[in-house]
Amino acid sequence: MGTKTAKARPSNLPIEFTSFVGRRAELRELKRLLATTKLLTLTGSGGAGKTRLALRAAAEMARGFPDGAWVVSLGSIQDPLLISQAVLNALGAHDQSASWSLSTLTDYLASRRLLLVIDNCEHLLDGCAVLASTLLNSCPYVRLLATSRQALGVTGEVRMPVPPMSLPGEGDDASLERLMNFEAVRLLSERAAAVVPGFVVNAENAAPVLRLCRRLDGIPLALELAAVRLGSLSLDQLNQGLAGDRSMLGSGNRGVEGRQQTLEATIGWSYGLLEEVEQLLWARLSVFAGGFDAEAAIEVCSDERLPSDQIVEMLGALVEKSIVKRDLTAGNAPRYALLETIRQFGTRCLREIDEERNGRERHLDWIAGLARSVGAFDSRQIELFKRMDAERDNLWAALEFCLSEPGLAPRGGEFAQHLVAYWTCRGSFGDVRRVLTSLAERAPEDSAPRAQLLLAAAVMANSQNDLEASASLGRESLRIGTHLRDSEVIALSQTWLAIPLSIDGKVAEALEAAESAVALARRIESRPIELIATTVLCNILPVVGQPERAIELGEQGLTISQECGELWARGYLLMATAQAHWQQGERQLAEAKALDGAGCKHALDDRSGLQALLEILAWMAVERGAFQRAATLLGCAERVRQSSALQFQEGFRKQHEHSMALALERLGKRQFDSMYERGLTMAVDAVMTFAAEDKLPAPPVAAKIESKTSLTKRELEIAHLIADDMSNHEIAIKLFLSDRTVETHVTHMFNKLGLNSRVQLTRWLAGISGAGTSLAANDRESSVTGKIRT
Amino acid sequence: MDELSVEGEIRGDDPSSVASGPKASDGQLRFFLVERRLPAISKRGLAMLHAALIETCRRFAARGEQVVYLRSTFVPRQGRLLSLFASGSLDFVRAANEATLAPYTSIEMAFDLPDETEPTPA
Repeated sequence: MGTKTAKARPSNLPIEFTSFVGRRAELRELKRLLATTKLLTLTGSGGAGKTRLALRAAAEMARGFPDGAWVVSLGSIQDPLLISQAVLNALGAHDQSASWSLSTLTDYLASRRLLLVIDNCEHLLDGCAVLASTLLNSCPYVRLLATSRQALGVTGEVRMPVPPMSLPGEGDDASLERLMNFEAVRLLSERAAAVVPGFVVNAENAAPVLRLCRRLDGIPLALELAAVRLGSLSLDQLNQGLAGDRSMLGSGNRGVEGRQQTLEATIGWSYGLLEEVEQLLWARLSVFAGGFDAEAAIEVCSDERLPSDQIVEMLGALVEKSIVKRDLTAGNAPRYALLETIRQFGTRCLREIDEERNGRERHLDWIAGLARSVGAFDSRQIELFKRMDAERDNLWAALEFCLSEPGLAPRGGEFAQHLVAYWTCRGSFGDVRRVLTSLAERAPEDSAPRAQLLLAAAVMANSQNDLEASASLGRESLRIGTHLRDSEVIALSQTWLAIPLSIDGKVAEALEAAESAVALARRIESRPIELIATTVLCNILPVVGQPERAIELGEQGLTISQECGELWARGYLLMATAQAHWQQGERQLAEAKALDGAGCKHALDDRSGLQALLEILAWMAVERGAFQRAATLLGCAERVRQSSALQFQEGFRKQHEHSMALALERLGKRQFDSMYERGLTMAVDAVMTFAAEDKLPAPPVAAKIESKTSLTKRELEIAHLIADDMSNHEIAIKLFLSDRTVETHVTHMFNKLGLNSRVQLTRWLAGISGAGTSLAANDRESSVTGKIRT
Repeated sequence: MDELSVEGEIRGDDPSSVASGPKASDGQLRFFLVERRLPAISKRGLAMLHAALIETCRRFAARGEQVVYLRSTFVPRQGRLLSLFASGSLDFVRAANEATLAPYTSIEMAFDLPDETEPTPA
């Protein structure tokens, strides 16, 4: 069976794992309608195949849209306020703005030419109507294709009902040849062949096949659920089993409500055929929103009734029975999901066996555990940030559960405590802040969870440039911490409070808060808090004219960061030390540090941090007279901001405007615009390549060292990083290479130099650097640890 | 505002506190003030939100969920948007505001001060 994707254009359309049967007339009609309307809604009962039809049409039409075809599924979203964020996420844009997210979305889409499939709108009709009408009015080149059981009811909407698959009418005893022209029969036949090799519709089974298709009203999902059962049941047994349900009249010609009854009865029948443990697993899996992996299923669903060592096998059985979908494209580990209709049935079953609250609590425990891992600030940071991205819907479902259940608000404090750094990279600041503030209101007064929630809300407010609110929330958190004599809360409150104070020009107060936080973190021996507090303090020190102290403290912070293996704080520490070195006149070192910092932020996909470092690199380029580079980097920074709807950071405005004006004056408008535009149109990966390749040229002495060896420039660069005790993986991240490429370079170096170990390589490097060059010393300093272990 | 509970009901026994508010035939319409914090919203964004509020309330009213959007006031320095609604139900006001996809910080029952210069109906 063929699988198809829309590769020609950017897209997030999923791969089709099963054949697409029939629907030629509908596809033709859909394309015709969508050519002339900006909003087309496919309506029909659950299981009618609206989603599949929309996705197939989108894949086939994607080439006509320069900015691609995209799908956002709203099935797992319950809160209408999260609709805009879901769309932005589906489009690969992080909303880190302080604005109304729908306004951010329209800005993002204003000039884009794309097709957006909005799937599963029925439970959020009012919100989807606002989304659709706003996009119709503000985004002239966007086409919307919605799927919903009901039309959205928006002016300009064209509705296209999706009928059941075609069937011979009652009394039409179609010939065998004609029978295969009917879509329902073909779908049943194809799916049956997948479980019963060689299955074909023939003269012998034509009558029961037709009876089955009619009984299932030609509903695709019902046909699929029935067909997979042919592996263990005969056609007659299937017909007899389904006939037991009075809601299945078997006419094959019923209205929407009748078809809905048929589908629900089929799902119920399918459920009834499962082993008891499989039924239980189905019900328990319904607590997941937006999918899950096997590990999560084990953690959330297993107990003495569902032993953990049998879950994977049971998942496989549910996949075979078309209850669970398996997606192999998400990464190495397969990811699973329930179709929304199937999930809703599972939720009802979970409620009936009185396990809903317990199931949601276990789901909450699982995602809270993942949040704790993210907050550990260790060498898994990149991987865990990506993992949390994949579990975004599950995270929001857990937060909504905390909001909805009395007494669970303090659990939200765990997320606040551990996900602050993650949220500063991903946003969406407004939604996160809203939920955290709501949870704080429900948490016990003067409790540590309330303080943690307020603190995280303060960080989000700061990211929105809402400095007044940020400081106010930070002060309240500090008050609670002081009241509780909770040193961790006090230190963290002082840390985060220092940022809005500093940006707001209250630098003395900011410095005092950050100094106090660092001292307290050291006193209580909390390395993560010391790292964060040091990072904040280091970024304030250059502002108050203390670059030496920033460098000294920065190196201490980088040592902690290196020990942890994390990148988030490291990127900001490198930003601080880069500015401090620049103030000291150590330009090459400063630029190398800023570039390293940008590399950390890029690796984490922390666009807020990345745009800040690109700005700083641009300012450095201006100051050394590299105006073309500066203009391009300024465009790059703007590009990164636009990709995440980031607001311009107020603390950067003055220097930014100065640099823009100077570069414009020196280059002239035409050249400046050309260079700026170049940066503005670069992909984020290309931005990093540009920044790295076009940095301040190394002094001639570098070539001198290189000429003394048989190593290439890249190999020499890797040798220095090995001397700095970095692993191949860390080097790969730093230099934007694959692990395998780094391994190859290392092997070549060993071969060329006749060495066997990294220690020998480090000694060899120390030997050639001992020739006495200032660059070697500088390079050493520019490393993360500044140390060589032998 | 002590007499108002968070549920939008009047505490105490002074119905005259909303006497100047709009009245439905059953006399149950009340004012509700919805506050939003939108520190970075543009004029275009505000116009879009205004349009969404009008459209959503019309939509609600068309299906019998009476909620009337009256007006909004924006305080730029604070990034605060205050929107006034009239409805017989706090739930309708909440649902209509959530449907506009714009988060709010609070919904409070409100009332106008009576205009003393207005002639009293006979």
